[in-house]
Amino acid sequence: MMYLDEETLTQVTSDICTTMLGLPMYPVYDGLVEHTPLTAQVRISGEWNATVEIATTPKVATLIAAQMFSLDPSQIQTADLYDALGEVANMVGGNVKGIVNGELDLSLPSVSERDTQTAGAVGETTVVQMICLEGPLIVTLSESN
Amino acid sequence: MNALIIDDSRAMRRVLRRIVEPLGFAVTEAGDGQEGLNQLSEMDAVDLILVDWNMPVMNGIEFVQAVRADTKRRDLKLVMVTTETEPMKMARALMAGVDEFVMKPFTSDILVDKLRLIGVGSF
Repeated sequence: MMYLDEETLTQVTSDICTTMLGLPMYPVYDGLVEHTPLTAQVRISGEWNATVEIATTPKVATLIAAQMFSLDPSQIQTADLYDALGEVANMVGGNVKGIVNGELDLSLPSVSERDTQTAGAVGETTVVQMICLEGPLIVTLSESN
Repeated sequence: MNALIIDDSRAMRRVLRRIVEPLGFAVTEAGDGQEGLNQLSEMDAVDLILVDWNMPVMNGIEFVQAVRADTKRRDLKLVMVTTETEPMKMARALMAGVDEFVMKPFTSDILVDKLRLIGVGSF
């Protein structure tokens, strides 16, 4: 089964944020120190099992939601943050699934207030760190059982 | 003009609503295919349905098959908004009666162009 490298995962995420949201995004290679307490996750299952996680700060999630829903950031509620970040995870997961190909299903996204967790990873893990709207956005793709 | 937007993601429903409402569509929303069928049965006229593929309860393909099985709904324009790119799956959707695809992520221009392509509205 094909696996995605950092460059491809960065491209997929960047395409979604720039095409759908019009948000500039660029990769960071030296490591981000900022805490990212908001995480959206989707699971890919079937011939290949993996998890896609999007982790960011509430501030970045607010700005993504504002852009996605054409609202002022001051109008964004917690539910909006969850919806927007979940949809970004859904699109990244869906596009990853399309690249990997095969008989695969995509779960509904879940969003929680915690850092990225890859404890269930059993194989390859790809992590890309990006700056989106002056804040961190970390995408983790990890193979799982 | 009336549009029915069916997607389990409230975020995506809002994004699609934001694009089609300014085109003159009155929008009704549903969170899955079954809810979409229920909404459809209560609507007098529908010009456009935007439907996701992967949804709980009833997925987009099952919804499209159910709609196309109704001879009164054969001319209704159906656009599938999805991340699915696998050719076999797309062929299956076309066989089921989908008029056009919009792949996520998309811009409002892409969606509007697709609507023009299938002859929905006059914008």
